[in-house]
Parts: sequence; C-alpha cells; structure tokens
Amino acid sequence: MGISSNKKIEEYAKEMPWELRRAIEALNDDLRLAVFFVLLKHGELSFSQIMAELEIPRKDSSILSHHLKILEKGALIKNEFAKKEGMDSHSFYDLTEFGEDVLNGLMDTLAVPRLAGEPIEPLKKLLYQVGSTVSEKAFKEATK
Amino acid sequence: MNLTHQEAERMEYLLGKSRLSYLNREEESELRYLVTKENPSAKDGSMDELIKLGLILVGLYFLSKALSEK
Repeated sequence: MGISSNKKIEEYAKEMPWELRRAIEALNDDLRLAVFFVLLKHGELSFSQIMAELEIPRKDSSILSHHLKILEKGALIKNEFAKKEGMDSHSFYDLTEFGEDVLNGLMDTLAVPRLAGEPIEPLKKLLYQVGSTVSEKAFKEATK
Repeated sequence: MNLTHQEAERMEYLLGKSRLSYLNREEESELRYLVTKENPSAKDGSMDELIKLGLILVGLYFLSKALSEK
C-alpha cells in the first residue's frame, strides 16, 4: 500500500529537476527501455523498423505509439519527418542529445565496481537480457 | 575493463555455454576467475550469482561499445 503524498514529500520530490524527473519516469518501463536501447544500437529508425526489431505485432502498434510519445515527452527521443529513398515511412525516431547524456549518467552509476551495490533494477534486468543474448550467440557461433 | 579482449570473448562463450549446455569443473573455475578479475567482490559468490553478474557485465560491455561507436 502506498503512502499518501503530503507537503513535505512534495517539497523534497521537487528538489529533483523537473526535466530529470520526467526522463526517469519515461524510462520506468521495460518496453520504453527496450525502445531506448534499440535506438541506441541502431540509430535512427522508422516506426515500422522499431516494431520489427522488437517483434511487436501490428495489432499493438497503438501501444508502441503511446510509449514513444512518453519517451518524446521525456525529451529522450525525437521524432522527425524526412523523405528517404526506398522507404515508405517518412517518420523517424532517434535519441536526443539529452537522452544520450541520461544514458551516460546511468551507465556511470553502473560502473563495474558498483555492480554489487544498488544498480537500477530495470536497467540491470535489461543488461542481463542483452548479456544472455550476446553470450548465447557467441557459444552457438563457436560450436557451429 | 580489466579483462583482455580474448578473456572477454572467452567469458561470453562460457556464459553462453552455461545457458545452453553445462559447464564442467574446469570451465566453472575459469569463469569464476574471469568474473572475479572484472569484479573482485564476486570472489565468494555462488556459481548462479557469478553467471548472473557475468551476463550483466557482458550486457554492459556490449551497450557501452554500441554507445562509443555511435
């Protein structure tokens, strides 16, 4: 059960700069974290490319739109319109400079000597998933 | 990063093997050595803990590399 907010809680919570608070809230979700790292890994991608990379079924496209908007509101990603040869989509997503700064900051808190301390759980979970995929691939390739 | 490139690749292989097959005793010792070299606080951890930490480390390296190449 949560604690009802009060004046003191609000006072302390406001000490966190509003931009950072919004960015942290935007990252507090597995799908949004995944989108964030997909864009980090691949750079600029269209909506359809993000759907394909994350294997999101077409019927759930509105859910992805919703989460992309939250990431945009958090100023972590940007949505730009451009015409590109050989592509149907004219709408592309990429990380903002602020998004990359936030990620660098998070990575610093996860510096290896501190891993046994208190890493940020959703990010730790994602790193574990990425590590599992990379390692399994390495083993499969070595035993081909 | 305390591991050499070859050691990091070996750690990836051993972690992949631990997930898709099984490690023999020698391989377990080798994995313990590699994870501990990168994070000495893992020295007395169980094999499950070492594998979990090792996978997080691999994920961290992979994403850090992606970030630096961007």
